[in-house]
Amino acid sequence: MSGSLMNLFSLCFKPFGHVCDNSEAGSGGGGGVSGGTGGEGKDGLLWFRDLGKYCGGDFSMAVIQANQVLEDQSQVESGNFGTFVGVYDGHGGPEAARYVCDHLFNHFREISAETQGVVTRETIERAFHATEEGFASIVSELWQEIPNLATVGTCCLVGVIYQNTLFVASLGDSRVVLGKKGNCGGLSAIQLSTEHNANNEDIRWELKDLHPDDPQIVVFRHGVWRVKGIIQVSRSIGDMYMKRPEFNKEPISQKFRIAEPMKRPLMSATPTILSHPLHPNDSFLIFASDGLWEHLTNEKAVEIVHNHPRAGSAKRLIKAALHEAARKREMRYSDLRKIDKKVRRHFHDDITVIVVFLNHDLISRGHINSTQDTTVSIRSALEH
Amino acid sequence: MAFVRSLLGAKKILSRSTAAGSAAPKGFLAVYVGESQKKRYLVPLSYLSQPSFQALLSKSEEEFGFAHPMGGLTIPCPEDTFINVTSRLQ
Repeated sequence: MSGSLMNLFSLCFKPFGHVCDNSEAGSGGGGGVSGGTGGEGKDGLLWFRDLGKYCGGDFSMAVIQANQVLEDQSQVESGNFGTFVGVYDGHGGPEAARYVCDHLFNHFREISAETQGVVTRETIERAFHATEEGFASIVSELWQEIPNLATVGTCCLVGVIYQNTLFVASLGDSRVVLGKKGNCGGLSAIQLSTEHNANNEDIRWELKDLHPDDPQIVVFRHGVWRVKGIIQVSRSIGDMYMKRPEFNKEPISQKFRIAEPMKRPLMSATPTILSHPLHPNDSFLIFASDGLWEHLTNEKAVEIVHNHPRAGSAKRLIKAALHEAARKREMRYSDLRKIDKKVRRHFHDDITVIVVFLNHDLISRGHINSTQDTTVSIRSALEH
Repeated sequence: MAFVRSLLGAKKILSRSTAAGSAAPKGFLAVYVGESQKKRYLVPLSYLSQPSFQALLSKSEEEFGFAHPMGGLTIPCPEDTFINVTSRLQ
C-alpha cells in the first residue's frame, strides 16, 4: 500500500474533533474542550457546541448529517495569529472535505509565517492553491488504486479575522452572512461571500466568457444548471476530473466523462476573496453550507440569531431549517427527525453552521491578549 | 391473490385525503406519484425504511437528484408500480 493511501486512510478513520469528548448526552458538559464553556453533544444525527469562546468573542457551532457518510467538515481555529473559520461542503464523497480540514489551515499558518504573521489576500489564495496541489498529488498517486478519488471535491468557505479586518474566501456555494446593527436598532443581513453555482446567471456568464468556444459549458439538467451538465458548482478543491484531462478517462464513471478534449480546466480552485474592515456595528457572522440557505433566507437567519440567546444559536438555525424542510415535504418535524441518514438526504442536505459573535473590544485589542481560555482548535465531530 | 393483496395494501394508503401542500397527519408523509400527471398519496413513515420503497426513491434520485419538483417526495414511476410495491409492505 502506498504512503499516500495510508495517509488518506488515516484521514478517513481517525477520530474527529481532537478536542471534543464526543458526548452522547443531549447537552453534555464539553469536558476537556479548550476554548470556553457551553454544552456540547450529540442528538441523533445532530452534533452541536452551544457556545464557545474564541479570541474575539463567542461562537456557536452545529452540524446535522443527512448523507450516508457525512460530507461536511468545519473548524474554528483562534490564537495569537488571529481567527480562522472554515466550512467545507464535500461532494462525491467525504475525502476532499476531510483533506481540506486537515491541511488548509496548516498551509495558511506556514504561508503567513513567511511574512511574520501578516495576512493578506495573497496569503489566503496561496493556502488554497497549496491545498489543491496537495490533494491533486494524492489523486495522482492513488489513480490506480482509487480512481474515483478524482471525482470527489469540496466547496470551501473560510473567514479570517486578522487585526481589524475580516477576509472571506470562498469556492463553491457555502455562504457567510453578517448581522449588522442599523441606526434604528434593527439588524440587517449582509451577504459577504460570492457563490460559484451555475444556477446564478453571473456564474453562467463567467463560464461562457472563460470558455467561448464551448456552447455546452453550462447545460440545464435534472432541473438545475450544471457545468458541462454534470456539477452545479464551478469552483472547488478536488474534482480533478473537471480540471485535468488525465483524470477524465477510464475507469471513472461514464457520467463524469467529457466527450471532447479538455483544453483548459473546467473548474477553478482560485477563491473569490473579500476583505471587510470590521465596524463596531458588525454584530455576528453566520457561516453555513448551502444546506442551510436552501431553507432559510439571510434575513430570517439573522433574525433568529438576533432574537434569541447566543448559546445554541447554530443548533437553533439548523432546527429552523429542518422545520422548513419538513413543511416542504408536507410532514411533521417530529417525523422528519425519525428518518435515518441516507434516506434523510431526500429531505435535506448535510448542514453545517458556525455563528461567530464579534466582540470589538477584544478584537481591537488584538489577538496578542489571547489566553489559554480563548485559544481554540475545534472541528465538528460526527462519527460515521 | 395478488389482487386481494393489492386491495389490502391500498387501504393503508390514504389517497388524496388532504389538500396538497398541507402537513400530513402524524406518522405520515405526502408522496407524488406518476409519470406525467402526479397523484398525491399519504404513506406511513415506516415505508421509508423498506428496501423496496427506497428503490423507488433511488429512481427518483436518478431523475431529479434530491430536488423533488412537487415539494413533497416525487416518485416518477407508473401508479400501478407504486401500488404494487407499497401493497407488499407491512
